[in-house]
Amino acid sequence: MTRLLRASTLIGRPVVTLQGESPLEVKDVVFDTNAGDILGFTLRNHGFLGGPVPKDLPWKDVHGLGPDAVVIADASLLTTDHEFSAIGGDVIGDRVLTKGGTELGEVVDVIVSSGAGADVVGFEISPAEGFRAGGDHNVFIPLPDTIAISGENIIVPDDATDYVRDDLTGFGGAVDDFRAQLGGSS
Amino acid sequence: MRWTEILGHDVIDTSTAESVGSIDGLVADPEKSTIAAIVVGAWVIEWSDAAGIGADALTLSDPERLREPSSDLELRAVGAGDPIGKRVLTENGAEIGKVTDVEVDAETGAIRGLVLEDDEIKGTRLVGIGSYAVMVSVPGRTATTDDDDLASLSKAELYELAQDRDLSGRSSMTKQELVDALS
Repeated sequence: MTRLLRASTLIGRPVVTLQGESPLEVKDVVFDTNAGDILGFTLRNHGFLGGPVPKDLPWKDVHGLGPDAVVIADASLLTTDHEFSAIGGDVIGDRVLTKGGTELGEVVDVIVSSGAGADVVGFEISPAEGFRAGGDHNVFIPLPDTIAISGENIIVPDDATDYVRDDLTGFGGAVDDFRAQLGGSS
Repeated sequence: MRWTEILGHDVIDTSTAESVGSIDGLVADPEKSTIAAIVVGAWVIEWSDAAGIGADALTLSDPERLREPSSDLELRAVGAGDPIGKRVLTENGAEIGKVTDVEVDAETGAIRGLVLEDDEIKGTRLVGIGSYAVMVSVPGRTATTDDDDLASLSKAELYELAQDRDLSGRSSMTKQELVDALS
């Protein structure tokens, strides 16, 4: 039951243990600006006035990621021991280019798969003028398992443009097709 | 027996005929899918120590059996409160409804099922009851689920699975028809 989610929608989502307690909620999503992956989440107390707490949740400790909660095995996983700040940052606003040097657009959101564990599968981008005639609406571009990323620029294979979709419905299939094609050609 | 049939009932010490409290919650042992103990105020009594669980009261022959919570499970259960009305979350982070009742074997305290608004799921899926949510496993994901995977899903979960597989005619199917079509 894989569902795709915008990473931005995870902000404010409760972090719930398998014991049914929800000590905290997601404050922010931290990206690895060297690899394009999600490092984890910074956390805050529940509610509109919930202040930040000096605890975070590494991506690898996410037990389940769904539309209603981020599930973890138990509360002891929430600690301050992770080195988020060294390589962590934001990819929103980064420029997406093909290997061939065509600018596709700017990252608006990161698309992740939900369910057991979680995976970064693509970006929602605001298309550049030369790509798909620019246009007012955002499009979705799938990512291979690893990408080159510099802090400002993200390089995707030229073929990725063949799998661009206009909406999230059906984008999951496009990601699978794209990755299968990459696996087959290498 | 349904849990709501006894929730809130008096707990009576038969040696003095006095009420010592009321049934306020349950201590579930998710590993055994049973009610290990009953919460009475800030105290607990093990299911097997109740002299009788009748239509109107829970009777105690030995008030000494009513004790302070000691294990982690018991301490958590006293703080978490009763499961009725709590949201049900799968371990994959999806809410599938709210608990309206719990189907219990009166003899053994075994939790047979969790009753949701318009559905019922097997008690073996219970993972934890906390103050925020009742957590349930996703069949096929955790090693502890040895039940028939599809039959233990709620109808809404089956429908979602049917959507993923683009099963035709799914919207008019009953729960059993969905199980048959998906297996």
